[in-house]
Amino acid sequence: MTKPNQPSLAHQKNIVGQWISAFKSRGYLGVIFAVICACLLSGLGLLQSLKIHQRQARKALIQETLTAQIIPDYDQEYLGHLKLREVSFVPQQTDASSDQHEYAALSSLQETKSGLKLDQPEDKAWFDAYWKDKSEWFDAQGHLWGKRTLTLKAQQTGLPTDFQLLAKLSATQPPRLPWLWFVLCGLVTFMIAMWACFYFGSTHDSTQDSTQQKKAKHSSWSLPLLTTISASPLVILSCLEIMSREQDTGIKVAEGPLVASLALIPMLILGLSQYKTAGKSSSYRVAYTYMMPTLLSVGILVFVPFSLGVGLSFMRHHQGEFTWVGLSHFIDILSASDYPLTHPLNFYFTLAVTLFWTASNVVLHTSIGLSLALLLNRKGLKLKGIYRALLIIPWAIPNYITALIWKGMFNQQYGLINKFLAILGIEPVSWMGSFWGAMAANISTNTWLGFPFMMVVTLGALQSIPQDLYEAAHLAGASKWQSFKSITLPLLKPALLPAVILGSVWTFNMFNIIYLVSGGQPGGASDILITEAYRWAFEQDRYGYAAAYSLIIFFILLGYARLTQRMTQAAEEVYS
Amino acid sequence: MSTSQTQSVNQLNQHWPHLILLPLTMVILIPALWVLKMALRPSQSFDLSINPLPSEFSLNNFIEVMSEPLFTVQIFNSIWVSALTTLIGVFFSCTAAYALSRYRFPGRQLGLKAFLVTQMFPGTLMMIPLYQVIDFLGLLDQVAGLVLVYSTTAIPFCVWNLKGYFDTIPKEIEESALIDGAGPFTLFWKIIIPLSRPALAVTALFSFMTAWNEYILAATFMNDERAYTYPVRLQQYVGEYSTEWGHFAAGAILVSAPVMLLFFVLQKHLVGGLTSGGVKG
Amino acid sequence: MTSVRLIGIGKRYPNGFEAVQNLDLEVQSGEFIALVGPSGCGKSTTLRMIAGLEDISSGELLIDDERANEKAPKDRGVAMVFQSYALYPHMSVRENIAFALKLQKMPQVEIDQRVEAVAKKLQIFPLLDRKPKEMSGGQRQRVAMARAIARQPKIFLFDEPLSNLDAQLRAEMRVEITKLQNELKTTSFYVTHDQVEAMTLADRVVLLKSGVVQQIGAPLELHDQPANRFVATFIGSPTMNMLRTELKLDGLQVCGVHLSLSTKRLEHIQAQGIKSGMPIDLGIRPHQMTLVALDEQSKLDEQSEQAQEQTATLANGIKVSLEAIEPLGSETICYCRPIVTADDQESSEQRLVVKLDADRKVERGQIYLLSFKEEHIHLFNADEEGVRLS
Repeated sequence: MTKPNQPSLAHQKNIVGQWISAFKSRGYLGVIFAVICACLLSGLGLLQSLKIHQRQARKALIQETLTAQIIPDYDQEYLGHLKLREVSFVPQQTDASSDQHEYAALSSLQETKSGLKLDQPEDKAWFDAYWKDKSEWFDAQGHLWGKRTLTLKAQQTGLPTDFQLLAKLSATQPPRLPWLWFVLCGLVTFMIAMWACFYFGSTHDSTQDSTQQKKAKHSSWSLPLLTTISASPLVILSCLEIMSREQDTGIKVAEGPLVASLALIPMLILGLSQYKTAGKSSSYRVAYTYMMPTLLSVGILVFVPFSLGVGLSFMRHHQGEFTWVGLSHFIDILSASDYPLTHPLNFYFTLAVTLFWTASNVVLHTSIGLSLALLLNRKGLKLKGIYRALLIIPWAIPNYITALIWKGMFNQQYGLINKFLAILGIEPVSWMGSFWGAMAANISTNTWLGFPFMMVVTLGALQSIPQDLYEAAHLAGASKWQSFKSITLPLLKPALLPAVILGSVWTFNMFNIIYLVSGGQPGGASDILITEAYRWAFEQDRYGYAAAYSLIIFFILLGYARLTQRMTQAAEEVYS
Repeated sequence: MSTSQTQSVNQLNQHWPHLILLPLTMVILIPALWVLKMALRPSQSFDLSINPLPSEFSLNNFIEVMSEPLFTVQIFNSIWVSALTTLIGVFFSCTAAYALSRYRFPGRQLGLKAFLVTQMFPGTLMMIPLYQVIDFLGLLDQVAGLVLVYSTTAIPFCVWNLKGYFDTIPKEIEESALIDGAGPFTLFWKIIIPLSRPALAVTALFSFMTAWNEYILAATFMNDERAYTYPVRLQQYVGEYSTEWGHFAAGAILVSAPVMLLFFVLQKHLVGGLTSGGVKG
Repeated sequence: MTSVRLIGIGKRYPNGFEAVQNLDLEVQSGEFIALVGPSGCGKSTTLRMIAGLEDISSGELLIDDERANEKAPKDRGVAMVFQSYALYPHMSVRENIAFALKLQKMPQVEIDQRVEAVAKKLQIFPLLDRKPKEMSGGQRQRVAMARAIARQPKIFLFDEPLSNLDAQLRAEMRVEITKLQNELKTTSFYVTHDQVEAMTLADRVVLLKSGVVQQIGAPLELHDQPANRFVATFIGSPTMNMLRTELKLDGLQVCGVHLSLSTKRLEHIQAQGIKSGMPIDLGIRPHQMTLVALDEQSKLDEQSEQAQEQTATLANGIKVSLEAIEPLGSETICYCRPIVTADDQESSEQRLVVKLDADRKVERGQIYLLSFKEEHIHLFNADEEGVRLS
């Protein structure tokens, strides 16, 4: 390692010169990137602190306004600080339109807009309500506050012109998760540190003997880790500071992220001191630069939420407050003691349904896709292009549209399926009334929209099988079936296997179809795990329970992938 | 039927696939045709006859859907979100896939596995925390928030798809460019990207579809009607209690048309693009 | 004009595999160096290290007396022709050739001039607007050459550029490369596993085996004075015959036949520590041997002066049976097996290749006497390295 160093040292007389040349020759890109990251991070902090600041200011304003005016009026902005109490609105009558529509809007409001419960007035009026600026609804304590525009339209002719609506507003939206800061700052710091260290660190692909190589390999991981650990007290301190400030008054600027990003400076210096050979092309440097944007975005938007979700699964949520409950959610779910085994809400019942759902879908997708691909791949088939184009259609239609259309088709009264059956002289079936009916509806919908993917994958794989293999088999006297069995299938396997595995994972988590087609009818029996989890979260407000539920789903899938093990290998094989 | 095939067997061989393909294609087409029929009827109910061919031709539904006050805003939101998602998703996955395909660095295997594992994350687990993160970043009710979420959900699949393609590009071509004086970034832009156009097209299509077809996250993150993407609105036509099937069908056709168009245009690439094609020569 | 020096160059991969070890080479400006060796010998790695495509693990590379270890490929002034040609599939021939020039920010007019000049020189002018896909292998090869030449690099690097061509085209291109080299006088490195290419093209040949240089020298030097057994067998076609012999007081025991050596040679061998009774490898090129029919021997003894000479050096000639004949038109290759006493297993398993003039009539299955001149033999140490003794 000394030998290559000496000439470069000779060229650049001192360390400062070496640094400058490092910046000039290749380092400047990295420095710029690190600086940008640091700026972003601190900018984010600044933004956040400003937001907190603003909120504090507004809080005061609202409390003042509150006492002054609390007579909301249609089309008038309502300013109020409502702390878990009932407020009466006196809406004016407006023109009426389809009552069904209005009610739907109202009920969907109840479902999706968490934190708001509208109790209908005694005279059962129908409403259409729109909320604005929802993001500013709650403050850190779970208090309701902010500037609202509440639009209420009284509907249906014949209703009294003035009536009362009781809007019970409760703070059920989960408050900010306190550990968000830790995870976010820690992750970002770690990633930038790692990148910086690889960028500036010595390349160990050129080390001379194995001991040094080992050392270098060791340092490639330990360096960023060490720097992160050394930076983490700063990060934690700053986070704590921010959190405390969010509750107290008199906030100025959140230095937290600023401090965290300052921690990057020693890291850069440390990295630069590792700087060994001038101008040497380190492949790591380029590789990490290429990976950086993806790692950052996927890290922040996939892995951070995931770890937050994991944290959530150990907590119980009640009216905006989280309490630590440890593993009790998991125990509850897995022991399934609340419900008998045949009850739709029993975990194992739902698991069985999910497995049935996944298996039947994958089998149908693969077999239909495979056989269609084989048919379309035949030489001399006329209209091949047209068939292919038409058969791809289901894939191109957004799946929620498909789901809703099929839901309509399975409708007992108007549904086309039943009309077909009527032609055949069969009594209309109440599809959603029985478990098997609902599952049949779900599965046929998903099959319809899912097989083109498998077909296209198979077609691609089929085209990559060399034709001379078949000719050889033909010469050897193999029948069609034999050559299919011994050539086509084995050669399709590397392409099909990852597609099947990925497909089954997707199907396992296929929310849209179940939720929209059967909606879990009858009585939640046709729910799969993911829709069940969704209901726990958004219909029961049991976020922690739902998170635990989802985590179990994840582990089942992970176990499945481990079990097949070939997932990565096979995928690697196909894709390389 | 092994070696000696007579003319008539040949004939049969030629045509029997149609016996399967034709009815299957019909089954595929019927639901799609019904949508078209519903869209072209003035009525809002689902009540239809079995005949899938449209009997009435009224553009009322289309006109009504399109003349809604927020239609242009919402469609524009959708286009804007999808375009940005495609751009960002493809760009990010391109660079990552390139690094994963061409370089060997510590953490490569881990990265590849991590991308696959993200495919197993249940949406329900992610939704609430994701909401928090987006809120934290101040991106609720903003196109940027959706774009970020969509592109990151699209990235893992795109990375795998593109990596497969990049792996087939001969290393010598890059080395040749390096010697010709290209830096790593020129190399990427001038050689790799133009060479991977078919795979990029397919990847872009998937990114686009991820964004264009999604409504749950959009409904969660967007509270302002003006910030809705079109699928959110479209979904409301067929809520639990209201059923404006005519409007829904018309909207569905409007939404599906561009994707279908893209599918037909990219059909050729789609077949090879999923299992990675090669650059030969 | 560029000189290149490789000082103790080594390549070691992270898994510990040493592809190249301690390679020293001084290349004069304008020299054409061929790197030869069996596959996996490190010749391509060496070339790629010069190009900058592989990091140099140890040693120093000097281009024009300037350290180039850390220079990026583009800063080394090299151009490379790849085995697979590595043409950019999405660019036309013109764009392929102009790519490097464009990256150098050369004015467009000059680029056009250069591209056209080079295209004319390599007779690919009519192809300029085609894509690589639309051309034959030979044409692509020419484009790859043109692309390298157009840059007017300081150093040319060829990585088995002709191995994907058929025999006829290869011969043609060989002449072409020689012509170009005479014209351009650019320092060149040429990697090949084909020794004919190396011998015909190069000013000097570097022969490598598992990362270690075996011999560096002019082509004929390698042919006539191979530094060790490996070089001797690698260079020349058909390969040199190797016979395990035993050193006697005044000569060698070859397959049970005595071969007397000149005193000068004997002294030379003994000076290197080989004592009487120790094994020695004897190498002799196929074209320097001759076969004499057994029944003709007595006649020849009297008539031919040449035969007398042969019998003078090799007591009686080695008795061989002719196992196979390959008449090639211009010459005849004969595969023989020595006939020896039953206990001399080792010799009987050896196979000897003799190259005869085409007009010599020989018959398969017959027994011949094989003879050669003492001056043509090469002697090597019988140990693993097989260093040349004399």
